[in-house]
Amino acid sequence: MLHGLTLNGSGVGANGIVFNSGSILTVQNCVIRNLTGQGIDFVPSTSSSLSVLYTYVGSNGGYGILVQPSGSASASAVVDHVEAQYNGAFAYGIALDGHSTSGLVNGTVTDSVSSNNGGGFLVLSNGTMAINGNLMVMRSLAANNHTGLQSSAGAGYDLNAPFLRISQTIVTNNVIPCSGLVQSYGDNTVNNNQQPDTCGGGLIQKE
Amino acid sequence: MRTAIPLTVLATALACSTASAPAQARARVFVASYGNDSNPCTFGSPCKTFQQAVNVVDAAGEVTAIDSAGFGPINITKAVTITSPDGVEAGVVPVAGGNAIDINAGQVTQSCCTG
Repeated sequence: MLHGLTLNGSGVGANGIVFNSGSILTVQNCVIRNLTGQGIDFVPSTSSSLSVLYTYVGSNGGYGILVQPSGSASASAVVDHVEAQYNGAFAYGIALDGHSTSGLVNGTVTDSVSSNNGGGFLVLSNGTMAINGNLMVMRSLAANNHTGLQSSAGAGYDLNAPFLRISQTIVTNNVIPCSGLVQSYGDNTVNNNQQPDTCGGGLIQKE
Repeated sequence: MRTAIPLTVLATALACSTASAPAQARARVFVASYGNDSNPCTFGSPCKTFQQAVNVVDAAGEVTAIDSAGFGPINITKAVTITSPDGVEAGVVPVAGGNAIDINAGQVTQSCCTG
């Protein structure tokens, strides 16, 4: 567990936290900023879990939080009360990337903000028939990004795109509110984006 | 009347005392702005850097920052908790091109803690 730390790259440090191996990482009450790369680069080669709680991840050149297991590793992520802001213009605030693994990538984001990044929330699958990515975003905000939320199979097409589900979430002031297959519980606020305010290619029931 | 203790007996007693002393537990260690990495990382004699504290703490142990300062980048190779109490800013500033914290802990089974 990393608790109460301030990681400041001063514009020259590469990444805040790079997790290559170790099963479990909990980051709580931390500030991670001013790195040239990722704030948190969670890249295990064996199955591992990440929790990021009450943490600010901002002003980094790359992703705020990137979960990207490799090989056959699975990864699960819980993100709660996190602010991911002002990260890379071509990166996402919070991203689950399953394109490098045959394992599963599952994530839940609650009560969090992803704003002023290239994108707000991303889930990426490996494009095979066995869809390997799931991201649930609840009671959160995607604002002032180029793309608010994106689900993609990784090769520029949406075939076998992973599951990205949103509930009680605000999507506003982005250029594109949602891209790819985003499933809505029908209780989100999607408004004032540059492109048509539509999220939720499929409306789903809460239970 | 005083009885002299043979020197060999005294030496043996000292040797036994030394041998039987338990190894110093390092389940919890400390860093501080005024610390020194040649210290044992105790609360009274804290270390200067997180790296030295992580090196000496037991697996699944805890490293605590006593006061606000920069404690340097860390390479973590075992399960450990690194923490600071409220009101203390424990900084980690990487070198140019380096990472603040690298975690290469292998597979461990602790139910909490980094690594």
